[in-house]
Amino acid sequence: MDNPVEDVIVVEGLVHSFSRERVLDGVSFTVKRGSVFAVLGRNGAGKTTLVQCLLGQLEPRAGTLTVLGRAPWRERAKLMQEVGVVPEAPDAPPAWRVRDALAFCARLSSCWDWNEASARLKRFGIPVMRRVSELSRGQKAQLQLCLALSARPRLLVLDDPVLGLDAVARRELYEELIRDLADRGTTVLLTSHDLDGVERLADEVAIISGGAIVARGTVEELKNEWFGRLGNYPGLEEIFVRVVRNGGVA
Amino acid sequence: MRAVTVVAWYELKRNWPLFPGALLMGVLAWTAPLVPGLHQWDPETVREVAASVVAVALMAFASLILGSAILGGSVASGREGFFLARPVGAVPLWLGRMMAVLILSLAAPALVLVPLALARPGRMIALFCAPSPLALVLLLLPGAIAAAGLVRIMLKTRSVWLAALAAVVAGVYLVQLRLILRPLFRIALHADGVLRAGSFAVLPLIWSAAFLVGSAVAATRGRSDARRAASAGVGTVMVILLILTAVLTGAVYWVNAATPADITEVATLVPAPEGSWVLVAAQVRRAGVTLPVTFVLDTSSGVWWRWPGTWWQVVGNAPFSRNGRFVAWWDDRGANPGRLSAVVRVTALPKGVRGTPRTVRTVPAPTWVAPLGMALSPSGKMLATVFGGVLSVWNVRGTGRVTRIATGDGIVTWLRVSDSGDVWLGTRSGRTGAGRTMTITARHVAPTGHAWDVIWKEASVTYLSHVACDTPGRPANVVALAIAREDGQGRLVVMRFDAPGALWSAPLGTLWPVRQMIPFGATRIVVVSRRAPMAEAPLAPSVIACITREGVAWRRTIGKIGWAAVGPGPDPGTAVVIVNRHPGTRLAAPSCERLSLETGGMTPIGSNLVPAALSWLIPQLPTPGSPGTRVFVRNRRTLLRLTTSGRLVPVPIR
Repeated sequence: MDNPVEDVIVVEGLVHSFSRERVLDGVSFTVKRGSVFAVLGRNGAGKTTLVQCLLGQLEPRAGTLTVLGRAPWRERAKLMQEVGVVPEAPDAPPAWRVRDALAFCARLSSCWDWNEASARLKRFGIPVMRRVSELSRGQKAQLQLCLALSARPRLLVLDDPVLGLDAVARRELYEELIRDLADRGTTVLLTSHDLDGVERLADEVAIISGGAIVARGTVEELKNEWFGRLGNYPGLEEIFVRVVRNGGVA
Repeated sequence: MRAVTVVAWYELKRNWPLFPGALLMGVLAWTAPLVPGLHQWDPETVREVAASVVAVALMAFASLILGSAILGGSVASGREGFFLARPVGAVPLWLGRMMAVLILSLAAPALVLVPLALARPGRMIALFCAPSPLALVLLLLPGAIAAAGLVRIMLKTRSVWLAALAAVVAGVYLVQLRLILRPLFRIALHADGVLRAGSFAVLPLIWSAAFLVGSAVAATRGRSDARRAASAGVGTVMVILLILTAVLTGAVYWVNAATPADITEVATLVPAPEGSWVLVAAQVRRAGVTLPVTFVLDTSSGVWWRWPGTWWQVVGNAPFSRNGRFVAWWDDRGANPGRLSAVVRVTALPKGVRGTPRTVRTVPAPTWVAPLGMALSPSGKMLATVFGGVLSVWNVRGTGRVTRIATGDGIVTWLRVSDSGDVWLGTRSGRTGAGRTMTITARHVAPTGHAWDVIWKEASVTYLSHVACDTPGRPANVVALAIAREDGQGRLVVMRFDAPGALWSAPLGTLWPVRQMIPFGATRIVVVSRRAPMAEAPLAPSVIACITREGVAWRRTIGKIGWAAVGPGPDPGTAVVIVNRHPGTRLAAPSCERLSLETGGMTPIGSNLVPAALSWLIPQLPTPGSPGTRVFVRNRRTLLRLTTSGRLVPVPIR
C-alpha cells in the first residue's frame, strides 16, 4: 500500500470557470505526505471548486492536477479508494438510515474497517437506525467524518467540515481528526472559515482570493512575514483579513 | 459490476414502498366491479380493464417520476457529491440507477397484475406478454427513464438557450419524422423477418438510444456540475437523434428509390394502347428489402418515372389515354378517413428523353377510398371517374367537371369516355350477376342501355364474359359478350352501347369458362377458354378459338393440360400467345409464340418468357402493332422488346 509519492497533491496552473466567470485562475500548490494543508478564503473564493477539482467531480479547464499520483478526472473511482471526503454540505440521502450509509460505503470500499466505524459512531453517540434526515447538523458532519475515516484513506479532504457547527460539535470533530492523524499520519487538505481550528491543525496554509492563491506558507512563516510588516505577531485571522482585503499586499 | 449492483440495490431499497403499494393497487383493481355503476359490466372485463389502466399508469409514473428523481435528482439537488466521493465510477453509478428504475418500472406494474394473473394466468399471458407490445415497451422504457432524468437536470439549470436549442432540434426532428414515417412504414409492411421487426423498432430504438447515451454522457461529463451535465447530455441527445434519424432517412429513401434496374419480379405489365409507355408493377430488391413498386417506362427510350399511385390500381383501372400521352392515377398520399384528401391526378408523360411528367389536372376525390372506375378519353382531354354510385366526367384541359350522374349500385365492369364527354358504362350487380350498360352524354343519360339478359332471350344467363372492341383513335362503344345458357351452349354477341339489339352474333357451341376475350377490331374476336367446369381447373387443356360473323373460324387446343394467354401481336393480323403445354410438371416452361389470326398457325418466338400477357386480362388492350405489344419479361427480371426482325432485345433503362 505504500506509495512512494512524496507530494500527495500537485496542482499546477489550475483554471476553472462557470459560464464566463473564472473561479480558479492559475492556482498552483503542492501538499506533502502526512501534512495538514489548509486552504482559506472568503465565501465564493473558489475553495469548494478547488476541492471538487481535486476529487474529480469537476473537470479543470486548464492546468495539471495529480492526487496520490493519479489524474482525478480520469481516475476518480480508483482515487476514491484512497481518499476520504467530508463535504461542505452533509449530503447523504436523507431517507437512508445511518446503517444504510455505512453499509453502502463499506460495500464499495476495499479497506473498510467496521470496528473503527462502530467505535467512532459510539463515541459520537449516533444511533445506527436513525435516518439521516433526523440527524442534527453536527451529527451529519460526524457521520460524514466517520464514513470518510472508516475507509482508512491516505488523503482526507475536508471541505469546511465545521460550517454551522456549535463549539462542542466542532471540538469533537477536531479531536477525532487529531486522533486519526496521530494514529495513521493521514494527509489532510482542509478548507475552513474556522481560523482557530486551522491554526491548531494546519502545517501549511494557502489563502485564496479572486481565484488565485495570494499567500502561502506555514502558519509560522506567515506570522513571521507579517511581523516584519506590522511590527507585532498577528493571529491567523488578522493575517487572513489583511491578505484578503489587500490582495496580499501589506 | 459489483458497484452497479450495490448502487442498484440501495436505490431499490430506498424505493421499496412502491412494491407493496403496487400490490395493494392490484387488489383494489380486483375489487373494481364493486364500484357503483360498473356492476352491470362483465366483472372479469372490469377487472382486466382496471388492472391494465393501473398497471400502465404505474409504469408511466415509475419510469418518469423515479427516472427523474433517481437519475437526475441528486445532481439537481446538489447531493451527487456523496456518491462521487465513493470509489464508484460515473458509469457504474449511472448504470446502477438505471437498472434500479427499470426494475421498479417493470416490477410495480407486474405486481398490480398479480391478483388477476393468479385468477386467470392464461388470459394474463395473452394480454400482456404479446411479443410486439412487450418489445416496444422494453425498447421505449429505458429511453423514457433517461429522458426524465435529463429533463430534471435541464430544468435545474434554467438555461434559456439550452431550452431554445432543444425546441429547435425537436422541431427538426419532427420534420424528419414527417419525412420518414411513410417510406419506413412501407418497408416495414413489405420486409420479412428481422428486417420487418427492425423497421418497426428502429425509430423507438434511435429515440431510446439517444436519451440513454445522452443521460450517460450527462452523468459522466457533468458529474456534480448540473449545467455541464445538462449541456453535455442534451447536446448528445440532439446530435444522436438528428444524425441517426438523418442516416435512417437517407437509407430509407435510398431503399425506396429503387429503379427498374432493381426489378426482381414483374407482377403486371400494362402497355398504353398506343405509344411506347408501359406500366410495370414489379418487385424490386434493395439492401435486402423487397418492395412492390410500379414504374411508368418508355420502352423505346428507356426513360422511366416512378408511379406514385398505389400499385394495385394498375390492374383495376385503365389509366392511359389511348394515345399514350396521359395517365390518370388515384393519389392516396395523405389520404385518411377524417380528411377527404385523396385526389385523382392526370399526368402528362414527357415526349422523348427530355422533360418530366407533370400533373395537368387534379380532381378531388369525394371519398378516401379508391375510385371504382377511372378512364381517360383517347386524347386525354376527358376524365371519367366512378366513386361509389356517382359517375363524374371532367374536362382535363378546360373548366372542370362537365357531368355528375348517380349510376346506382353495381360493380363497374366497363368504363369508356370519348373526347366529347360521352361515357359508356357497364355495371354488373354484385348480388344477381345481371349486368346493364349506360350511355351517358353531357345532355342526357340513356338509362340502362341494355341488360345482358335481354339480348339473348332464349334462356337465363349462366355465364358472361365481355370485352370492348376499341378501334384506333376511338373509344369503344362496341362490346363483345360471351354468354352461356344453362345447357352449356354459348353464343358470342357483339353489340353497341347506344343502340338496341346486336350488331352480330355467332354460336360458340359448348362454352367452357372463358379465360380471355381479345377483340381484333369489331369483326374478329379471339376467345380463350379452359375445357373444364372451372376456369382455373389445373388438369384441362386450353382452347383458343377465333370467332367471326360466320361463326368459329378456327379452334386450337393447347396440349392435354395446356395453358395459354393471348395478346395483340407486334403486327396487325397476328397475335402473341404465351403457352405452357405442361404446367405444373417438370417440363413446365412457358414459351412465346406468334399466332396467325387467319389460320391459327403458331410459330415460336422465344422460351422462358413470363406472361407479360397477364396484363392482357385488363380491359384496355394495346393496339395491335403498337410497341406496347412487344414487351415481355424473361426470367422475371429482364424486360425484353420484340424487334420487327423477330429478335428479343433488353429494354434500355436510363
